[in-house]
Amino acid sequence: MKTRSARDELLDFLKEKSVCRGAFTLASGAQSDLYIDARVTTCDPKGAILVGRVGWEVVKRVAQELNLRVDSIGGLTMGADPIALSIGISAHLENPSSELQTFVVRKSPKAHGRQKLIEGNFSSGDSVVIVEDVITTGGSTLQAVDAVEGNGGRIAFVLALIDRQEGGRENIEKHGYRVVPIFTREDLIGAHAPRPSDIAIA
Amino acid sequence: MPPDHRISRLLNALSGELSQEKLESLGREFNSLGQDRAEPLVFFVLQNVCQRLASALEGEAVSVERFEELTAGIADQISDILRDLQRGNAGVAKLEPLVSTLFRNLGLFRR
Repeated sequence: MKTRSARDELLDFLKEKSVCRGAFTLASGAQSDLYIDARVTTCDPKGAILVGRVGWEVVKRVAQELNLRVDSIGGLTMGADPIALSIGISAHLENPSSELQTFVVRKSPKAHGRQKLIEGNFSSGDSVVIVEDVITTGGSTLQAVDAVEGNGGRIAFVLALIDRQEGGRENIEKHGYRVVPIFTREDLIGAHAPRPSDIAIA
Repeated sequence: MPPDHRISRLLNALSGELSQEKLESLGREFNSLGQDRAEPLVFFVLQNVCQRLASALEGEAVSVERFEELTAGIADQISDILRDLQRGNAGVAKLEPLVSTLFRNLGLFRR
């Protein structure tokens, strides 16, 4: 019997737990027939293990292809938080001497103290993978990119758990950053499902 | 008084559809304006209104109808207050109706 890959298992997990169909207003304000609540997968212990294993394999492969070092991984809270940590744990489980670190980008600077925008393990000069749970317009990804670059980091590439295929990837790539999605809208609901732009929502 | 481009930009943003991302962005700008201008109370309230609403929308599968309920009247009332500020009026009297609208939209009134 053929063993199912972690990627296949994760895809089934997302389809079962995270995909909602209906008429929704997304964070960007766009209307869509598809809502993806990635956090119920990324915050599920089994889902988190799968996200870590699959995500870490992708990070290693892309870093090797691009001949880039990756020091740290993180993104805009809170969608990115469990993904970054899961990948960091997978890296450490595979190789306890792995130095991959993880961090969190706040949506706005802390009002008191050091007014930090980035929390956790990030240092100026780090080569960073920005992670995102779901890319729609790319706005939150670019917000995280700005925070990292504003604090002296360099962007290796952007890793997205899901690309909704609604222009966000292109918007990010227009700014010069490579985007690597693990899954797309097509993977989740099929290639022939209508796009939001094809659907009239009352 | 020279035209306040920051207020004009906000009015321009409010003329389109609201969204969680836009509310978060507006909240950050109101926070900044509260520290830069002479009306900290007004901007403090505007910042909190935007943040409360953005938090209510964050991470939820918000139906189109529910989104319209949550945001009804908010952009118009904020715009009205900003236009008052442009005219040199602090617009404090309009804060209470705005917060009432927010509470009503969020279903927070207990009476």
